[in-house]
Amino acid sequence: MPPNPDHETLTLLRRRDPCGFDQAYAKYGSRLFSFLLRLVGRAEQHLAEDLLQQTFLKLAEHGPELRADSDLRAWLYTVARHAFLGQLRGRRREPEAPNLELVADYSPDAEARLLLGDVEAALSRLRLEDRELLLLIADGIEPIAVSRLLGIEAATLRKRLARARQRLLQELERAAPRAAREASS
Amino acid sequence: MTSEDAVLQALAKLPLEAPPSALSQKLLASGRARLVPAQVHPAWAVAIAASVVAYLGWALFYTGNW
Repeated sequence: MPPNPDHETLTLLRRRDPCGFDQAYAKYGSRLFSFLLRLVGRAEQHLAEDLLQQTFLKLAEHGPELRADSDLRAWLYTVARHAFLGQLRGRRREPEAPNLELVADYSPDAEARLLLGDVEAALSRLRLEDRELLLLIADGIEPIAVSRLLGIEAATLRKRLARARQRLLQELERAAPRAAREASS
Repeated sequence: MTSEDAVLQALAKLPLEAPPSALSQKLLASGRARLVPAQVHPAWAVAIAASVVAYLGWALFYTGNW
């Protein structure tokens, strides 16, 4: 079994050492914020900020109780997801599609950003469950951890993932054929 | 590589978005404060112990069992 990459962070957190909190935030703050931002949509950035705050304050509260072999990343995503579902239940509506910045100036960099913008826009048009699943897997979380996180069987996860990928490709083909070609080449 | 793997790769290439720095600063400060338990000044512990001893002494004296 490979060593836990968060062993040191967890050890510090268990000792209530603030460096553990700083380390966790430095490592996962941006990743989690990106995940939340894409999940809720850019128009709801304040909600993504609230959720990030709730997640890391939970870490400060419960960090000392985590085991040294815990999967910190999966734990953070689980907390963030529960916070998001709690907000959704409160609002009872789907988050708005993100507002994507338009890239006006042409450069190879700008072109790449535009293609990524197409991918992000297509992602935002997917159903929430598909979007969430794709973001978790693309973020490198192990499928076994994702199936635990979502509370579904591994076989169901595989089926749902294949469906979500297919829907994303269809969205890309419909709205941005060029990005779809790039993604499928 | 299948086209489906390429879809995930395209998603993984989406840039990371940093949280606003004001939020990060606020969050780090409140997270650290919540993680580290508030230190009680030793004088409080002495004061509480002294008041317990004084109360017990008074109770014993009052009931005539001193």
